[in-house]
Amino acid sequence: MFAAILKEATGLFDKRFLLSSFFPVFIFAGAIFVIASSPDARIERSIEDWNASSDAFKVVTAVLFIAIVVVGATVASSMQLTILRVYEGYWIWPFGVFAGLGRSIYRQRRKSAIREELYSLYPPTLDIMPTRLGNMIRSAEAYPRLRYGIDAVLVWPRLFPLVKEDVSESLSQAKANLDLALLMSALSAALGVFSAVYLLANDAPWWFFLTCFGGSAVASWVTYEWGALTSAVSYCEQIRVAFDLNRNAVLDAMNIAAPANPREERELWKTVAGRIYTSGNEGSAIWKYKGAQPSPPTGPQQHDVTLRFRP
Amino acid sequence: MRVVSLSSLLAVVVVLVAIGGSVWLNERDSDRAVELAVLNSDLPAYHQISAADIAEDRIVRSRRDSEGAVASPEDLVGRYLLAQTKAGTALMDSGLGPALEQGALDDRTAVAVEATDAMTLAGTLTGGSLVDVTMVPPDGSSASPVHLPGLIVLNVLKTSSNVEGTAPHLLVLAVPNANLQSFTEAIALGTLVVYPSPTQ
Repeated sequence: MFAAILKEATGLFDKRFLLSSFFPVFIFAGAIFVIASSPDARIERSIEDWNASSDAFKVVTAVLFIAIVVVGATVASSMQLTILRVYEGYWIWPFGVFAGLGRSIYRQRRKSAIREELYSLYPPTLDIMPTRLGNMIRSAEAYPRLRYGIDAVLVWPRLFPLVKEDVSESLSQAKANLDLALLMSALSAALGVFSAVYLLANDAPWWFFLTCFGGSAVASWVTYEWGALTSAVSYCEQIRVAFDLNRNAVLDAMNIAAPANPREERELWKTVAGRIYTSGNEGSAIWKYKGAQPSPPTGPQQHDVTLRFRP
Repeated sequence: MRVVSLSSLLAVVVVLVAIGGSVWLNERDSDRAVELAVLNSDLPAYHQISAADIAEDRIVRSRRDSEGAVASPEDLVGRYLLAQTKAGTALMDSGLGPALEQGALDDRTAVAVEATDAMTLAGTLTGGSLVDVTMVPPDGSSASPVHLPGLIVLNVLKTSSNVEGTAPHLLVLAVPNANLQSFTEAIALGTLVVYPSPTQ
């Protein structure tokens, strides 16, 4: 029984969970605990109170704290997609106003962007997002459509299993780094909001307020700017490369003959998308199965006409 | 022309909140500054404060810095110092014993004796308690027990020593000067028994 419990526990606390969720939430909860217990910045007095408290109280508090961290880490882990979308700029009311403002700012900036920036930082004008991260990711998502006519959302699940193991590991690692940086940035921002409200309400010393609020804001900015955006550059580039190098492998795996030229390729991917979405396009001439013999023409019946010379 | 980004706008908001919040908290703390009474001269530990010991001028401290300090001179008179205290410094409540009848410590000397848990009446003795003390001579001694009524407990301190055989407390007693010699002689030889004074 114990072995089963241990196995469950180690499964729950695998390395990725510990690194990407548990430790960030642990640090965040610890900081909240310190601020909440010492709004007057007299941390040494809180430590004295803690030391003077009974062992039972310490044990119960520690167990509760760890339980809260585990639950918080599990919730944070399941919210990674939501956090990513918020940082991408998918904002709902009342922040939709700012989304519009952000889009117009990046549309302006796009006009003066150089070729390399257009490649990695900006999607087409209609796809512009209100944040830099959103634009980087949207740019990578738009890349296969712009270059090859590939519907990235549809093809990616079919392409990912075909990339080489080291490439897929590298992609997963880049995504994990991005998620970790975004989680830390989000938790730091939340800590900043909490410390601002709580310390202002409790008449904290000004320097303690400034340290907690300013420190959280700087931490949030640093993890976004130097963590998330840096990871996103690598992640997005690997997505582009995966489409560049493996798109024909998808066709191959689907037993579809590779296109002969860029125009045919665009037409082919359009056909593939239509076929997958609606099971239509069965009669498309562009869709050819690999190694199939050309089928005989299916026109009006041909009559064997033999010309005979009269003797 | 470079267009301002949303993150720049957010940074401006954060900086404004940080500066505004800090200034507001500082102003709020200063607005509620308090005047604290101070001593006009350096005084030794276990000196009972009288009106003559309090300086005419007060010091002004922010609310936060004055937390735990005694502000009013009326609240100081009759209390005694638990440690040597310099003139002009804020007097913290934790550094003062309770108020005693004025002159209660006149002609008395503070004496510290090692004390067991039993001698502190299981921790119930505190500064200001009134106790009777009997020094019981050791077995075989021809000396008779010495009984001293009405001693004032000035402080009960915990010793930090973990050495076996060392008493866990120090009991600071205000002993009348008239009995000081017999008290010190008896305590060196016998066992101290402490009990609440029936006159208390």
